[in-house]
This record gives sequence, structure tokens and C-alpha cells, in this order.
Amino acid sequence: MNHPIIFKQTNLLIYSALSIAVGIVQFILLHFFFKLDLNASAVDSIIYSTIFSFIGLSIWFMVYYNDIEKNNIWIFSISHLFSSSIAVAVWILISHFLVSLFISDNTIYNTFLDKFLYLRIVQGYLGYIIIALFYYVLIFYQTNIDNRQREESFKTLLRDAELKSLKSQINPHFLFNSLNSISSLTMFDPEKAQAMIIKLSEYLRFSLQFKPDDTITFEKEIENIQRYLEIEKIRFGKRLAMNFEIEDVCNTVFVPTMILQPLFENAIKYGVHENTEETLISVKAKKESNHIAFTISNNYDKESVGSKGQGIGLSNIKDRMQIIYGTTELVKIKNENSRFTVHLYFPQVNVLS
Amino acid sequence: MISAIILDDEELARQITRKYLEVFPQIEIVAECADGFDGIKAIQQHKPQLLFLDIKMPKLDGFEVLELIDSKPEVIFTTAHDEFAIKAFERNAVDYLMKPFSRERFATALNKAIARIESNSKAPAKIDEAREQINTETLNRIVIRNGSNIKIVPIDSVQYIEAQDDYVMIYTSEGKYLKQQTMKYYETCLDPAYFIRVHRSYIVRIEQIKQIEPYEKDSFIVKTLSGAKLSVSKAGYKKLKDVLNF
Repeated sequence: MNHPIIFKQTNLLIYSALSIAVGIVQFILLHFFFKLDLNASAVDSIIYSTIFSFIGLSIWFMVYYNDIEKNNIWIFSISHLFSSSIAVAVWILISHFLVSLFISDNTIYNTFLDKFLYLRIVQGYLGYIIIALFYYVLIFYQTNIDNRQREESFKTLLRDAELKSLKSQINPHFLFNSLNSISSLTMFDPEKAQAMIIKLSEYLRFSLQFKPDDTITFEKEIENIQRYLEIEKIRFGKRLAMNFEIEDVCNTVFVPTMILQPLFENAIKYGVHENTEETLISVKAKKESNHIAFTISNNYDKESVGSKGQGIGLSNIKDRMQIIYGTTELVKIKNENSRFTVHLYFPQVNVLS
Repeated sequence: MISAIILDDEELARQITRKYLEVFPQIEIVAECADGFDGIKAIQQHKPQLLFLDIKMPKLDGFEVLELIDSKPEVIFTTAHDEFAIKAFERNAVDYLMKPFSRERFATALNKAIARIESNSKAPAKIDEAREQINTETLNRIVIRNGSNIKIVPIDSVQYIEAQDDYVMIYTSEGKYLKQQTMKYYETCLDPAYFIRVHRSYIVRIEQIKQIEPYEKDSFIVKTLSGAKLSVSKAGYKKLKDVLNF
């Protein structure tokens, strides 16, 4: 932390103004209360307050390097006692010397000096204490701000990290199984193989480019889902069927990127993978008051999958929705009659945040 | 001639195996199946010498198929998953092909299988021994074959398991099933958060325990919610004490 007064112009101005004010008060006291003449009062108050204001600046270093949290209370007190005494002594000696250059034969002033030296010392200690306290408050305040900022940036970091880990990564088994299908197609149906390679490339390009914080139009998100399903359709043939009913108004709404992907991966994993019959994935999206209601449902083979176990992967979506929208109410899951349904509600945001 | 069955749920995957096999006239494909149930039926019927086996399939996975068949064909696994390789070799697999695999890689695996079949030398490890291997995965379900009938029992419905010589009797909410397996296997593979072995002959679901009462001198029995009374050994009683905190 830099010196809070020297390096900040406004603070320096305020400090100077205060020093001048102290000087004026001192002048008034000397002239009207102690009945010194104008000349002596002016010289004394100007010199003493100017020197003190310089010493006041240097008290900063005492405060800065004497942290009460690091030193024990005794070291803390003794070092301040020591430095304040030096400060007061230096202040009075220098000022006294300077004043004596201007005033030498003023007996009233000299008597005043002798008589009220103790007041001057008290003034010096008081000034030291006030300035030191001011610095401590300043440091405390600044540390507080720093901590809050650090906490903020830490929270942002944490959130980014969470999102990063939550983003649906490309499932390696999907990739290798697709490549295996392509490998097979190259021998029997090269054109279909090429079509699949292109679809897979498009899907990969989309999936790899997005950052966890990105949002995207619902339309684009669904397009990518359709690419994914078309690839799986080549693998699974008639075991996979899909049906999309999407209202046009939904298309322009922004949603978190790749938020839907894990739902479809689940539908493939627990629906198609475990079923020798057809698995129908139906998708609906419609506008409801101020949000988009998205629904995906698929049938599954109860005998093969069992009645639970479909919740895996969904908690990621729940977490992500909660981090982004700040509520847990946006994901609803239903599992009945061998049909698994997930509802997602996207608050309507038509502009990129 | 060597008889072979291809068991894979994806048509394109079966197709490539079939294609690669074209240059091996000594291999005869006797069946192709797309799920575990059909696979078992075909294996029981044809008793093939060689099996190309996918792992992730509808109904039953590849390992469950191996568990349920009576014959012991040489097995070449074909899968996109790398995490099952150790388990596969524990089951005495000839090879483990990672999809997509090349013609050359396939040929290497097949030649190994042919060599094994022709020398008629079953490697020493048997599936039964593999069952004894320390297995860290927890079971989600148990598959049981009774004649041509295959039953998938979800672990959630298992109440307790009783040792019966070389078999175990699995008691569930829907009935009891006999299975050729060891108690040791279930002791290691069932989730210890839900199951506890209370006796040489009994593993019981912790939630099923209704009461533990003294029985004769120094011994105890567990009464289950379904009304069964199971003996508790000294070691079992200690385990119960630890788990249930009494």
C-alpha cells in the first residue's frame, strides 16, 4: 500500500488544508488567549504546524510497519511510545530552532515557551495519536475493500470453474462408436460415410468452440441436437425415432450453450441403448408467459433399465441452471409408465447479456 | 470349420466384423444377434467355438451373457469402452478390440483365437476363478437363468442371500432365485452401505433387519422384515454392532 496522502492529490490537498486550519487555530489561541503579539503568534504557529504536518506524513511508516495483528501488544505499544517521543522531540527542537531565527529578543514569547512547554508536548502526542489512528482506520478500510474485491474475483473464478466442469463434454464412447460406424460405412456405403463424417465434424466444431459462459439462440442449440441425433440415427437405425414440436417464438430466445445435450445423451443411453425396440424421443418447446417451456421425453425398457438410475447427469444440468439463473425451480423430472420426461424452463432473454 | 457368433447391438458394427471375416473361410458365422437375450439363446443352441462380443447392449451386457451361458466359447470383445479391459481378461478373453479397429488388428485377434481353438488349450483361468477376483465395482443387478428363462433382478429388490453349497439363494421381494455364485463374490460386489454379511451363510440388506435377538448361549439371530430368521456369527455380530451403532 502506497502512502495514502503523498500519492493522492485530493488527500494531499485535504491534509494541507487541515494543517493550515490547525495553524490558524494555534495562531488565534496564541494571540488572543496567551496574549502574544501578532508577529510571534504568526511565526510560531506557521513554523510549528508546518513542521508537524511533515512529521505527520512520516508517521505513516510507523503505522504501516507496526501492524497490531502481527506484533504483540507490548511491542506495538512500546514502539509507538518510542517513535511518538522521537517525533515530538524532533518536532519541538526543529521548530524551536527555526523560530529562534526569526524571534530572538521577545521576552514575553520566551517566557511563554518556558511556561507552556508541557502543553506543546501534550499537543505533539495528541497530534501523533490522532494521525496514527487516522492511518489505521485508512488501512483497515482499504484491506476491507481489497478483501471484498478478492472475494468477488474468487467467486467469479469459482463459478467459471464450476461451469467449465459442468459443461457437457463430448462423450468419448459416442465419438468412438460413431467412428466405428463410419469405418463400417466406408466399405459398404462410402457416400453415407462421407455424410456422417461431415455431420460429425459439424457437431464437433460446434461442441468444441463454445465457452461455458456462452449463450446461444434456442434455434442453434436445437440444430446441434438434431445433428447429434442424426449421427445416432445412422448408428441405431430404426431403434431411434424422434419428433420435434417447436414453436417459432422459441427460436430467438437465448439459452446456455450445450445445456440440452446431456438430456439427449441420457435419452440415448437409457432409452435407445437398452432397448431393442423403437425408442421415441419427443421434444416440445413453447412459450409460456415469460419463459420457454422445453420438454424432452423418451420411453425406455423398464426391465432392462430398472425404474431408477436415470438421474445421473441431470444433476449437472440442475447445477448449471442454478448457477446461471439462480433458482432450482427450472428443472422438473417425471418418471412414470416407462417414460422419462424432463421439463426445463428458460427465462426469456432475447439479448446477449 | 470354426463356428462363430457375432453379438453386437449395432448393425454397422456387426457388418464390419462380418466383412473382416470374409477372408477367413475357416470361420463360419452361425448367428448374429443384437441383444443379450437373443445372444444367449443362440449360444445355447449353436454352442459356437468363437464369440465376438460387444459389452454395452440392451437387456444384458456382454459379461452377463458370459455369466449365463453353459458353453465356454473363446471370446473376442469388441467395444468402444476401454474401462472393461481388465475385467475382460479376467474372464479369459482372447483379445479386446477397441472400436474402431483395423483389419490387421482384427486378424491378430482372430489368429490368436484360432490358435487357441485348434490347440484345444483352454487357458488355465476359468470364469469361476475370475469370479473370485477382487472386484471393486458394485453390482446394480443380478441376472439369473432358469432353463430358457432369463430374469434380471435389480439389487434394490434383494432382501438377503443364503449360501447353498456351490450356489446361492437370492431372496427378493418377488421371490427367490438360485444362482451359481459364491458368497465371497457378493460380499465384495454388493454395496457395503446396504448389505452386511452376518454369517458364513448369510448376507442381509441392512434395511431389512427388523430385530436382533439372542439365540441360545452367545449367539444371535437377525429377524428380517419379511419374517426370515438368519443366524449371526460372532464376527457378524461385531459387524452389526459397528454398522448399526448399538
